[in-house]
Amino acid sequence: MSELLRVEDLRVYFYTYAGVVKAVDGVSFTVRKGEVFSIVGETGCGKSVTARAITKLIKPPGRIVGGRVLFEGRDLLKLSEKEIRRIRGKDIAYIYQDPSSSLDPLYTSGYQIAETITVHNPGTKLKNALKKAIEILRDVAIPDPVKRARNYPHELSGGMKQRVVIGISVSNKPKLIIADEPTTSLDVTVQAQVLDLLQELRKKYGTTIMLITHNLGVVAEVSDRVMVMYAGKVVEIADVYTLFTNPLHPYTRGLLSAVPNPLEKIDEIKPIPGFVPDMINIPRGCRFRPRCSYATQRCLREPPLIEVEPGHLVSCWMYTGGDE
Amino acid sequence: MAELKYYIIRRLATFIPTILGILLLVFIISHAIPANPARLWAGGEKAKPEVVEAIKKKYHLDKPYHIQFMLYLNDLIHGDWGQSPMTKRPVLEDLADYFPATFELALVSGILIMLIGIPLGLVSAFKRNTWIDHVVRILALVGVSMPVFWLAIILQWIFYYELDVFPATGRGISPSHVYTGLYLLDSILSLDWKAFIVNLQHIILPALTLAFAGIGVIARITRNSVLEVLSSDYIDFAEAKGLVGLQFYRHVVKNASIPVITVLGLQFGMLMAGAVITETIFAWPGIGSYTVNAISSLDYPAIMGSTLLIGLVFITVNLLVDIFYAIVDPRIRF
Repeated sequence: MSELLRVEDLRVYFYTYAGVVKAVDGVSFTVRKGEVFSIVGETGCGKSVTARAITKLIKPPGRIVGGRVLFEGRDLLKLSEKEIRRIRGKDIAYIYQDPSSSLDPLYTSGYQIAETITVHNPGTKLKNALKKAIEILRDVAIPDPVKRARNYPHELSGGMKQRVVIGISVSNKPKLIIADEPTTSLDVTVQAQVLDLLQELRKKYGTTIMLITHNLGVVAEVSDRVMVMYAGKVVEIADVYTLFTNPLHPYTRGLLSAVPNPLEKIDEIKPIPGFVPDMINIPRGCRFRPRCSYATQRCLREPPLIEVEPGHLVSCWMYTGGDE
Repeated sequence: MAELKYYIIRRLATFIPTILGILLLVFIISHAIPANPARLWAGGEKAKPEVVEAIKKKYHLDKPYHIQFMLYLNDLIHGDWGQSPMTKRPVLEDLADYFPATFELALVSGILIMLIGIPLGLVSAFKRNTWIDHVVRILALVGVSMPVFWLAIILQWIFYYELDVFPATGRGISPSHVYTGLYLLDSILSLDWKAFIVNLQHIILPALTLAFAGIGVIARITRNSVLEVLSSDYIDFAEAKGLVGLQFYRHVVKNASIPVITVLGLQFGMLMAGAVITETIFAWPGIGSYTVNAISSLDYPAIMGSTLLIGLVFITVNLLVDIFYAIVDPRIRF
């Protein structure tokens, strides 16, 4: 599979009164055409910021201070605001967490899809875009799309609202959909439906999906490859099967043993001891060190992200080989 | 929209108890003053007793209060707002003379509030935490805290006494044809440009005085509601969709307009009621100065009439604001 997106050494810092928060600090990864690439991590680990930084959607006090985001070979971070706007919602579309607040309460669902079409296809009449919006609503499996297009967000259920948001994101047949916690605010039954829909649309349009979540169940169900983040850093990247059967980084292992695995009989759930570090005073060296039971002296230096087997990258001194 | 029609009808029905409440309150307050209005109306200390008696009879002052109130309501229902004992004219005719002046003043002030307050608020919001924002916020604070009478005198001093660009008092000249009683509008309708200029010069200072506090309030409300909308998720999402220009800003403007219109509606009511001081200082022949005179001479019918009229305007404006809500915000259904 060829490469669609390559992020190199991305750094996003937030300049707050309390100090500089290095929310994303040297993150690198690639997303291949047609796959579902998941980013997992706890709240505040920088996964959403990474997702937004890809199309420069970072607002002050946040700033992208370094790195490259190569999308089909073009560095998106070098584009002007005008140029990047033509990519947002067209080549790279987003799905946000809470559909109830992502939709403008004062406009109909049909209009909100249609405006996404007209803004990226100058010359398209709103009337025609509205007709297309109805087709899109049908695509995202909303019953009675003609009527629903005329509904305002408050007249739709949570699941339907998220379908409308998905409809907005697929309206220009994007090459990459970045879904930031798309199921988190939904009921469990609706979650499954929305994930199925995403899979279906991926097959239909050949879209690549970047999925940001903290839900390992969702990751296991839909992803091809997974990246685990911790405190603004990449700790492990692997294909989904490898990650779940042979996790290497102590943090990944901790994450996996902190949730029940339905395939195995387990006696107890082991939470990871300690807390996510204060992002202003980050621990020196490996950021997971204070919580890691394998930590040694060498962990005071920052571990590099190395490929231990083809396609399996991990950032931990245990796998650097010989360097004791 | 059928829903909206029923809503308006229902809202109009609620006018009746509101009006009754206003009338009852004003009646109690004005009649609670321990005075002898009949003698005052008859000419004061030297009035002949038989004249005083005749007046008492004519205005039912010899009857108990609740009967007086009922008689007043009865007249009102038949379209008779009573007769002013001071001007010796029907109250409705007096109001027809004075009300347009106040309405025009309030209207011009309202327009000034919108034309100055909203842009200031927008600039403040979009240039948040820059020097422009700080200046606007200080101006807003000053505008809200400045006493009207002081501002009026300062404006007169600067623009009349020192610069002599605007007249200090009066309403100007009556245009060649009077259609609505609003001089500015009538001068335009009758193509009387000389009158238009003169009247504009006369209305600027009182309108600015009246509008000053409102400009500050509206600037702040606009700033805050725009900032709130800008920080909302749907605006983030609109950016992620790649919306630009008008397609982007219509989301901001529509959502931010709701609180702004609410406060504008309230402000307009305040303008009508708050015109009293401004009209007195600028000798503006409006309902404010008419009411002040009525109060000082215990002119019950005039007090009741002018309060009723201001109340009616106030609740009508409120109704208009509510109709605006219903049109803009689909979540509001009645």
